[in-house]
Amino acid sequence: MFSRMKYLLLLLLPYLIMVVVNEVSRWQQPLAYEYKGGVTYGVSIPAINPSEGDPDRCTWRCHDDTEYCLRHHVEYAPAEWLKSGYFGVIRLLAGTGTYGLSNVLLLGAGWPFMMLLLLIGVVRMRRKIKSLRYE
Amino acid sequence: MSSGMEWIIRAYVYCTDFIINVANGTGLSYFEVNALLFILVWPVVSLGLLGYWVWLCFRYWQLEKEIHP
Repeated sequence: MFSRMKYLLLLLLPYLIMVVVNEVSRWQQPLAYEYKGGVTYGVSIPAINPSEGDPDRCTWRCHDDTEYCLRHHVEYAPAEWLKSGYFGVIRLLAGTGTYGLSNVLLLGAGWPFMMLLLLIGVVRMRRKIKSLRYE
Repeated sequence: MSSGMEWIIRAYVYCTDFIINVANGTGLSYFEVNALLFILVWPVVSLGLLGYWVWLCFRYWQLEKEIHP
């Protein structure tokens, strides 16, 4: 029971950190913004950061236009393989036809859950080996 | 757009805002945080855990053969 709670806490902890970081940032922002991803989704969604570009900090413009982020906010030019990987993941997610949904399912839920399952597998296997040694 | 889909997009916007906030808070850029997290750290951690788990399974199998031949 305690072990399950521990794993549940481990699964929820990153989401809790995300909520704390986002809400502190929202509290520090003077204005409420909207992400006008209307071109893609047809709706405006309340957002914490502005849509317009800002040379001094990252905004939704960096999400919409990676070249803008690379030009204004990246100090050292990234390795080509890193850029290829980055755009490869974006192409892969966009290729599903539902970019936002695939993003949330894969990067927001599926992959972290898979890492937790692997961690649980490692912990359990270590325990089994330990118990076998002391048999 | 259905309300279910709208909530998914809201979750996506919230997660993306988190990456932007982390970028601004750490002095890195949105591109760098994304690339570090999803192209470097997560794949390395996942492969590391998978490799370790496979090695542990093999070790368990070996030990069991030694103890219960």
